[in-house]
Amino acid sequence: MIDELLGQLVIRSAEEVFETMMSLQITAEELSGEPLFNGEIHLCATIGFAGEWNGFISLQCSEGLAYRVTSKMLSADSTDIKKNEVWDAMGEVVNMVGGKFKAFFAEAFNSGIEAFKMSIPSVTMGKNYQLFVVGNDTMPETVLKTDGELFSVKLVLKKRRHRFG
Amino acid sequence: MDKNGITEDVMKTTETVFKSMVFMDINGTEYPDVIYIPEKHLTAMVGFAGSYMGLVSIHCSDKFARIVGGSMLSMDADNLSDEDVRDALGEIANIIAGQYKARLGEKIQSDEQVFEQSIPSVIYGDDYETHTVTDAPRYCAKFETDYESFYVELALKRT
Repeated sequence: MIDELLGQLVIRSAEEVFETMMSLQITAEELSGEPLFNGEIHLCATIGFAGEWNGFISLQCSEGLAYRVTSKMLSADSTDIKKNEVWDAMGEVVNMVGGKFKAFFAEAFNSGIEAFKMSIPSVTMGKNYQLFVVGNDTMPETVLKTDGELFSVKLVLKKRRHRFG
Repeated sequence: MDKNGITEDVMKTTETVFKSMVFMDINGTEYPDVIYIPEKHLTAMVGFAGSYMGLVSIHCSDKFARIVGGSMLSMDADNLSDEDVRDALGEIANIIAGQYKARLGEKIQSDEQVFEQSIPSVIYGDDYETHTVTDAPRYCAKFETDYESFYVELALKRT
């Protein structure tokens, strides 16, 4: 139930950012269980959450979609874009999606009070790698579609354990 | 070396953690270049936020991560599962971040926690590069060990 609510907040966050910043519509898709990327170059942009709640949010998309997203953000032709601009743009996208999620989460679960702050984004790019969370925690995945392509958002979020005594 | 001695702090913190948790003596030097590990490797990352925000990353080969994991878990490196290896390296990144937090707090003479940490994530593969996306300064050290070298990076900025 909570995972479902969090998934809805993730979708809302991505929708607002993609529509406002890039004029891209987003639809939620069914999880097929198959990996989204099979040996093709893809990016994974991640930002951490730290505070009363801890975790991270990670956005994964193909290289092609990352370049198109960057071109929309920079209002530039995707053929003119340099790799470091894609890093920066995708870092900024996950920063904005994380920021929206933070606001929606506070509203939905924390009486409007900030539940966590955000760290600095990192972006990984390559053909053959996977993102893992440490420990036995699950990493719920939301699959979305934009500009004709699937991408995913993974979220890890846990309440901080308080130590007493 | 940076004038605030942050790279030095990263080196000292990592050396202390490896001595106490991995029972390994290591030697760090400043490393300003792009990190490149050609074979199967891992990057364990811990973000943090508070009065300071940033990211601690540790980068090493799969082979070295197994040696670290084996030492931490008192197990043969060859008998570790991939999950054990990821968890061990993630835990090391977490401890380095935590120890650096304490060192930073002492340095700025703050009684309050200077930041809180996120949950560690680990990238595992044989063909990827990872970048911290920020205007914050990057402090990176390369460590030599009896086995292989590895890298620890810190991106840090005052909020």
